[in-house]
Amino acid sequence: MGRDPAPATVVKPAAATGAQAAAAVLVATGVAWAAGERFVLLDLELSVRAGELLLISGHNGAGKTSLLSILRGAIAPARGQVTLAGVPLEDVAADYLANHIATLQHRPGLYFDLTGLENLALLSSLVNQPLTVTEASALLDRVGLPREAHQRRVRHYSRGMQQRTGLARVMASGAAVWLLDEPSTGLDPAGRETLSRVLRDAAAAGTAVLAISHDPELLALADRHLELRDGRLHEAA
Amino acid sequence: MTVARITWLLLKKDLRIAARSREMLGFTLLFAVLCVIVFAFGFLQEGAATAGYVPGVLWVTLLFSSSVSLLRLFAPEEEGGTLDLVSSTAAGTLPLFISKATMQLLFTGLVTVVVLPLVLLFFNTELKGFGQTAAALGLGLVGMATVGTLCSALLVHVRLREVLLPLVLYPTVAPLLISGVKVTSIALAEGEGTGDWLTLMLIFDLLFVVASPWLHGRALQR
Amino acid sequence: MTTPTISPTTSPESPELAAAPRAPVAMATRVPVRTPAALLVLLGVSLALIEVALWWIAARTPSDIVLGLSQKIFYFHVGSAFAMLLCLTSASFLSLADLLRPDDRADALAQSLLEVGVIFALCILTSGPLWARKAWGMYWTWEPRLTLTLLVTLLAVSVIALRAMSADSGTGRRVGAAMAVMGAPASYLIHVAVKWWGGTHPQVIQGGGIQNADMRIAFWLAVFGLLTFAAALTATRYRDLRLKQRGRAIRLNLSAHQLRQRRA
Repeated sequence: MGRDPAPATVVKPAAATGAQAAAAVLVATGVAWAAGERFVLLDLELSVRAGELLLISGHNGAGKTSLLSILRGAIAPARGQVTLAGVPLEDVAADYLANHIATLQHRPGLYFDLTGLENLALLSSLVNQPLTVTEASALLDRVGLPREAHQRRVRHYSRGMQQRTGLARVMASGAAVWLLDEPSTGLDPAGRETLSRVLRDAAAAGTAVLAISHDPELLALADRHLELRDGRLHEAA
Repeated sequence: MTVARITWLLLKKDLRIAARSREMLGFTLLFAVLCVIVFAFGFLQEGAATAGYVPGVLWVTLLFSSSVSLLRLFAPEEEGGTLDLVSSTAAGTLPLFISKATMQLLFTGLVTVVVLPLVLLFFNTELKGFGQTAAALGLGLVGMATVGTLCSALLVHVRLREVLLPLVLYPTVAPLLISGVKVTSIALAEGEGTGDWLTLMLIFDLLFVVASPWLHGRALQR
Repeated sequence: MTTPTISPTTSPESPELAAAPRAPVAMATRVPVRTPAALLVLLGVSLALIEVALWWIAARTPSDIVLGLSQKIFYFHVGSAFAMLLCLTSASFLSLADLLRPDDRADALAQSLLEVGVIFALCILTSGPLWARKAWGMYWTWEPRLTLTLLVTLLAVSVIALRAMSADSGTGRRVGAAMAVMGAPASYLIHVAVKWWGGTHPQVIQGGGIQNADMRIAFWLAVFGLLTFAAALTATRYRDLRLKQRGRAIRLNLSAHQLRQRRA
């Protein structure tokens, strides 16, 4: 209600002071987040650049998933700020955020009673990237979903197939930033290979890809690997 | 324009899902029938007058079965984790609210069509003043669907929402319920003076229809 | 009344404490907080007013011809009803303000008002039936004003329970606020229910008003006494909640400090 249907905020690209600064799409500065009365994330600095594949690892409970929620603007950090192309997330219109940041979380972000194709058609239209049936079909082929499954309900997919379809949804979104939480969950070796290829291609096409993962296959591919420890990100060995 | 287009997309999706999981509608209808039967157990005595119970039984059955379907209203979103995807559209949260409220209205409308004849049959009552009763039911269902959708959306991520939903819903829709019961009992007795009650219901409906989507947008903002 | 306290949790292993000549035990325990004089004055004034009202009701007001002594419950019953409606309605508006523009003070005040409103609702729901037993011959009747009061009380209790359950999460706060806002129409309806729906509840104030001068004085004494008492209770609870918010902030800072020390 009362929200302007047209993108309410015009996001200007960050001032091009240097190649690196211009390429940093998502930047977190001094971010803190507390669970109850204990800080889990504190003084966290992160900059995700366009065209890079960034991997974040860390032990259970280190705050990886919370960090992802903060980065996609779902929860506000207790301190600090996250900017998308130089604009603080709280000032970015919700739909612009949705169109430019795509996430894959523990649940695949699909309707279980729609088919894979229907899911892609609906969810891509919602982010203003409507797909034709052929395009959607091609995407599902790309993530290795068997042809016969395209027209079946997601409810009857295996966990791995759901994950693949979720990945296809992220690919269909046309977002500039991908935030993926354990994307290789439930995937078989062939699926992991597909995932690696998709992520590498996306990064090569200029997408900023951030994935939380401990998957060695992805680690080998990543441009950068950071470890979340004591509430901050450290360069991993 | 954007609102209409996205709302239609979401509504089409909900209708498709509802058509594919028909069990939900079936079980809600069964629950409503069961409600009527239990009320009949509780109230009816051999040889005693029954018509006086009809308005109360009718409205309370509708309220109960609408609570049941409200608890499942956002189930497709919760199950697959799509709530974030559909609540941040180019038209904000409004399309989500309208589509869900429409679904709830269709659902409870269908329940009403089944329950009304059943109540009249079980309680051995003739339907008089159909126009007034239908108007009251229509206004009541619209108000209950909008407030109900708001309650359901608010409580999506809340533990114990099965308990909390009635606690929020019933006080809020109480004016509609009280007026609805009044109109129905006047209509069944072929009495006069339902106009004021219907106006009152209309006023509350307008308030709910305007305020609910707004509160929904405010409470679910980032 | 509870004494609000702030208890910073210091770990005994921390190096500063080990180096100190004597273990600063007192710092680790709860720190009592001074009660401001204004609060005590407000509480005193309200209790004095209530005391005078009680004396006036007992000594000066006449007994009802029909109802006898039981009519005298009216003064505190209506006073409590005023206090309840005022508390719950303000809580709804403050919750709305908090939804529009999040503010810890508005949130704390709304919560305090909600809790005090429930206390007065319980007063009404006790004194009403006692009177009704005499006047109507039964404790309870399903009449719009009674029913709505009960429903609104249940709603307020569920908002309080929701807040207690969801700790200090932002979702719980927003959902609770929205629920409190939704209670506003019902609160208003309690006020007009008798006029709109009829019912057996007496309408003294909206009707002819009070004719007897002593009764009028007793009535307003009771009303102002109870309203100031409600204000005092709300202020106490508000202070308590604000101190809790501050305590939380302090403990949070401490946790930040400890985390930074661990890194070093």
